[in-house]
Amino acid sequence: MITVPLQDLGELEERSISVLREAKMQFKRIVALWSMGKDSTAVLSLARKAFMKKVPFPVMHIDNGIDFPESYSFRDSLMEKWGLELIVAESKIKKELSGFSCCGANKTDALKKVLNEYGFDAVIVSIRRDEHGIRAKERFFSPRDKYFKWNYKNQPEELWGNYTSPSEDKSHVRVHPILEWNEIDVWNYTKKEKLPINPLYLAKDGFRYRSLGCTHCTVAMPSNARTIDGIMAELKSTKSEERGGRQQDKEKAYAMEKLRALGYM
Amino acid sequence: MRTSKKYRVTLIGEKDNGKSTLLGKLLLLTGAASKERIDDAKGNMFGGRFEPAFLLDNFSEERQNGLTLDSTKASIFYKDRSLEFTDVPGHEELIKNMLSGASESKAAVFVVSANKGEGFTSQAKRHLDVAVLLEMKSIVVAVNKIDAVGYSQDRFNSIRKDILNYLSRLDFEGKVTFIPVSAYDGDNLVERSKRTPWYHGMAVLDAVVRAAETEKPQRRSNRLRILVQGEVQNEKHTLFLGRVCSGRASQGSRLSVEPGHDDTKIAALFVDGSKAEHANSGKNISLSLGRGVRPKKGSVLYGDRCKPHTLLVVKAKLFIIDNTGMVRPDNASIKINNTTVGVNDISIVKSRVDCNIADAQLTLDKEYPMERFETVPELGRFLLYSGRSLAGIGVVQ
Repeated sequence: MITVPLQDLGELEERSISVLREAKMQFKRIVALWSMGKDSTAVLSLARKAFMKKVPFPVMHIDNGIDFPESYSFRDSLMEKWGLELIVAESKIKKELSGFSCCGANKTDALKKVLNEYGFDAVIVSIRRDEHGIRAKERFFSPRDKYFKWNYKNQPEELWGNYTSPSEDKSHVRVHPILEWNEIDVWNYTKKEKLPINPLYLAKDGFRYRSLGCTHCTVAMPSNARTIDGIMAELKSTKSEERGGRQQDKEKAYAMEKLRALGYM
Repeated sequence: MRTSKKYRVTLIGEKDNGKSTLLGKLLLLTGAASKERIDDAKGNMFGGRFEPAFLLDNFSEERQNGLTLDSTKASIFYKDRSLEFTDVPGHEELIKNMLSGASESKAAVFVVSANKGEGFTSQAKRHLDVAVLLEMKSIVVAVNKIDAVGYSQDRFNSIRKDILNYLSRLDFEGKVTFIPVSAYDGDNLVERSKRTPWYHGMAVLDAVVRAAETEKPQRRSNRLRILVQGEVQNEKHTLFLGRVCSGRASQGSRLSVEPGHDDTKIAALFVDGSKAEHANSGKNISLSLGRGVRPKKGSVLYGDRCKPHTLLVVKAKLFIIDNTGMVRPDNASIKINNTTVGVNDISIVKSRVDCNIADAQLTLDKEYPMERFETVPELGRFLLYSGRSLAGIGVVQ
């Protein structure tokens, strides 16, 4: 069994708030990606703490039209409750594409289009180091070139909360406020803050979603966890990984590395 | 459910001495690696043998070439301790990635090969320089590949002697433990190995746990200092965003803004966006201040009539990445808390033969408040730049 201890939430929160504030100070136009999942929702809650309970930048949903109905209704209710400024980036699903090609072509292209259209210079992305070995190598501030390429061979230094400055070549910087959190910490925070959650995370008829993508590529797992406590207890004894239900990670060797090279989150 | 304070440990040492292998093997032996990670490492071996290092080295290029490009973290929960290990690259040209990974660690596992010519190289010494500069209190030396030298106690002792000599030159005062290991086979990593009967000390993981247990709390200052991160407009008011670096901020606290020595006080204090009476060290806060005072991003607010330790002339210990050229002051600057300050002069007070650590005195081109690294770490550590490239790091003495 893999034992995952909870990290000190206070410490994690302060670091994340500080990252969000630094981003707000350094960049002119920021957008936060919001998938309506637990991670990006937690980040919006942290932004509310950082900026007097008002998220000071727009949030973007990359919508390919095949997200779960529960996700759309969750989106609309939280948007209203927290006064979020929502941008919907429509991405068209091509029937012939799935998994790897779909994430590479659709989500990433939609993101490119919107970033260019609005001139965003920073994108807040709620990835975590524990999700994937490739994401483990990320920085809090991670520059992308104009082709969205991540130059992982030559990342800028990042010490003691000194983050890389905005790049000069008109590309953008990915900002990762909860990079240091683990899956279980996000649930611990969600519980402590009583944040609303997408109902798909909780078990229904013996199945629940551990990680939410779109309907084509996300698979539910057997589970009886009907509460956050139940989810946390389940995570304490699991042997498999969070993105186990995501098809796009598995199709090819080094799929995540290749997807991220194309600009995927 | 248990919450555990993280103890951060970095693996340091020359490339190909076995840092990633040692950490990968620790993950396997303690059951801290998930099935997917193991399967992924097994399925992408490029025709070679199974390498525990692949659990950390996830880029195809890292696996193909058997090198670590950038830092990775991995956690192990062992004997009620939450240990966070950072694996860093050993290559000389990747030193900035090594610094990024190591910068917040309290202890190091120094992996050094027992093979002649492979072990205690100049690059390995650079890593020890960094550990000493960061004031790490414990260094666990894993003398690796001991199987390749026939588990030789003589070889172990000779490496031990060289390293102790070097550490004394750096004035290292912390604890250092030497352990013979074979990272690939797992000897002396978690349990003591029968193949080194002459060794009676601890296994690596126990030595790390002991380092965590004996860690003394830092002698941190309890006087109020708030680092200002910027300002936002809230309705009609200007609010300053900041973080309490030491002491406790309270509604009404009297403050002096540095640089500038302007006096003011906290008119209103907010924590997590709600009004609060107090905020302790480590908290991010929002403030409104008294009349007309306007600290900038990077300013520090001092309470209790306390004054900055240094403003213009800074005594610091420096780690210089490339010692041959030193850093030319006409092109130098430091970066501290996302604020860049020019440097007018760097004079070396004490250098050490064969080491890249020097005691220096820096004269800044404008006042900037700093504290001793030991008392307020956030205000006492900086990056040193030569032009646009990282030239080193420093801590204020």
